[in-house]
Amino acid sequence: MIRRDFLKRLGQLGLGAYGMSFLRFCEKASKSISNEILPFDVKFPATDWTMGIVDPQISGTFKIMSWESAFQFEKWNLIINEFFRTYYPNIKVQLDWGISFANYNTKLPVLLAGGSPPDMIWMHDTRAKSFAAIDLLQELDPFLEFFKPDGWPDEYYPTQVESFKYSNKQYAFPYDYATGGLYINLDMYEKIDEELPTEDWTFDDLLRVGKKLTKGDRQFGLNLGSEASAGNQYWILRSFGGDWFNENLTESKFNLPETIEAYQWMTDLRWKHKVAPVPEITQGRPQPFVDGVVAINADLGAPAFGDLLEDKFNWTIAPSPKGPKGRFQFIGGSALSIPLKATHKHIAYELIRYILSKPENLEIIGKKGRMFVSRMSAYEYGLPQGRLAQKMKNYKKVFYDLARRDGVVVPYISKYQEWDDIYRRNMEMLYFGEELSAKKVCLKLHDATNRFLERTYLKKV
Amino acid sequence: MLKKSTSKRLVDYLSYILLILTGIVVILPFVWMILSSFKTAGEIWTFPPVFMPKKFQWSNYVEAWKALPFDRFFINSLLVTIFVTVGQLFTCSLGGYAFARLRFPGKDKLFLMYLATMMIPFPVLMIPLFIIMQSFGWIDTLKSIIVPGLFSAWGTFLMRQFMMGIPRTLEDAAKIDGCSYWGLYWKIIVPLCKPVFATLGIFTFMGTWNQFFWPLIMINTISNKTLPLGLVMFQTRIAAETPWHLIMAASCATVLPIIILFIIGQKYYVKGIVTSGLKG
Repeated sequence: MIRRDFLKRLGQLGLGAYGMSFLRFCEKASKSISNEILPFDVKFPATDWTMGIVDPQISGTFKIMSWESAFQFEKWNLIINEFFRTYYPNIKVQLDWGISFANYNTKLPVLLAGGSPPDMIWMHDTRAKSFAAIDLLQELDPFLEFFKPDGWPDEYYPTQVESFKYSNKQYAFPYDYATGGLYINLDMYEKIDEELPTEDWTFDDLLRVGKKLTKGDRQFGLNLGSEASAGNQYWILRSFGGDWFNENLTESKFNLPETIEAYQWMTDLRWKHKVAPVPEITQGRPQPFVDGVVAINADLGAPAFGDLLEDKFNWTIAPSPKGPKGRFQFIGGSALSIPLKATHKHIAYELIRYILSKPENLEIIGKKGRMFVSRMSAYEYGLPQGRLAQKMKNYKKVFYDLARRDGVVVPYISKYQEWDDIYRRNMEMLYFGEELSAKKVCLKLHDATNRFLERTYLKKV
Repeated sequence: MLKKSTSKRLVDYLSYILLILTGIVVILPFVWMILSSFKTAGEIWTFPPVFMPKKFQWSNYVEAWKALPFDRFFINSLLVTIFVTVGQLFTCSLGGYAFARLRFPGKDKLFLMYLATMMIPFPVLMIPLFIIMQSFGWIDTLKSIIVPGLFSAWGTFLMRQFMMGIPRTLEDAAKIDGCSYWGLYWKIIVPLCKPVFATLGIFTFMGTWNQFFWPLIMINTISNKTLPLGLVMFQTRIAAETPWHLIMAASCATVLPIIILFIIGQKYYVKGIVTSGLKG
């Protein structure tokens, strides 16, 4: 055989091998896609926390992926190890944790698209619908029906249950509950002779106090965040009667006078009344409240500030105000999900149920965690302890009672990330003071959002 | 009018001042990292920033080391980096030699095709590469980071360009003495390519040591994580809760080998940059 023929044959052989392996991959992929049937055949003795569907002696690897950090994952580790030691001793657990939130959201789609998903994953409310919409998550309703967790769904925060639904189906089981309130620098506040804010305060009341608390560019009365951060400011928008889009996702609501009024109020804080720090100050100063530059700061109910403040000044918390159309409070949270192509779906569900509905586990998660657990009756485990409890005596009222009453579900639509880019590009003009008329920006965003909705949702109808 | 020697001295002084200032600007982030590794969590967030910690918290290093198995991460990083660097030097020099010296049909087209792979952004390759690794059963193994790193179009190009400058007469003389192709490569070309080997070696070492994205996708278990993956394991969803003082302590400890390597290979590194006209 001459050299050229040899090379030709070699090339053909290589192409053939590549083709075969590609076909094998496609075959595998199609098999796994059609594997959606969930048999509930009870063949083994069931326990309080296992369904009896999977052999307790099963061996294999159970993969878990989480964004929790080195110190945060400790609580999960305790519970997960206990579950497998008790119910599936031959299963090897592979824990992939300590992936930062941004990196988690990069890695997860690759694993899901690449056909090598974990068995149980952490899911955020901003992303849940996006994954569910493209069939990457397992619907949990059959499991919830067959092996109902104690207290589900009535004892869980309704906003959190709702946040992880898509097309009226449950795709994740909420595990925590974060809500917003006001952090107040008492050393500054005591000098202005005003009562502390209550839930009956209006945005005008807050502005009045904010003006009194502001001292040039050395001290700012209010910091309610950036209007470019869509989800975090949604509660303000709703308090004024505004919204992003209608329920059917057919029309933008950025042209409503109420929506425009809300954004104008937020913008004026910074550029007209000068009671809120401008981006130049907040960008070089990641924690303006901690640094003692801001008197009233809106943030989540996680007592993270407590560790950073180190008794620099006296501080406490208060409820966020109400608007012309009522009182709304920010709600956010995370959940546990099962990928559609997971290998051990039944065990994954049993584990989720075990973690989030067993009272002893809720105590561990609540006490070792930073937020309330998703089950309302376990709220006391999420209350701050010791020194922080003294600082935040009304913690339960602000972050539990009022949040339950006034919490608003942010409409994180299935293409939220895509729309958020459009939103941010426009709203940054207000935030950076490039444009001071909220009406102009909102009308521009209205057109852009309508185009987005038409392109994304209407064409499919 | 200033004397020539005085004006020369003035220019020298100005140059030194400028160089010192530039040096300070370059080294400041590094010094900041070292000092932050001794601060408390509260001091990290203080504004205006404090340069020196009130009290040096040596315990940050102990705490960071206890919280995560940095020794394991270190060994993994070292293994991956050594295998990739040595492997890439070998494959790129062989490839470079073939493209520079051997005659075979379609050589230039093949070289162009190989170079063209440099134009494809990594995110495009990510999922196909992931699927390949999956079909090999290499997910969550160090092999999945090492093997794709063994080949580099850029490294091959660098080698080829350098080898094309070596006089052919040396090879012709060796051929007359009966030297094989392998002998030519090993006994003639490789010894003459030390500067480019040093350049590619240092670039590959540094690139692999700091590699983050691909290991992030491939590695799942803590025992297989490399240093860059280990360092981000402290990061939390809420920025205020991230223990930056511990991250800084771990970063200081783990950046040491790369500094030592740079000090050792500084001569080759600079020479390599001068020879190849490349900047890091």
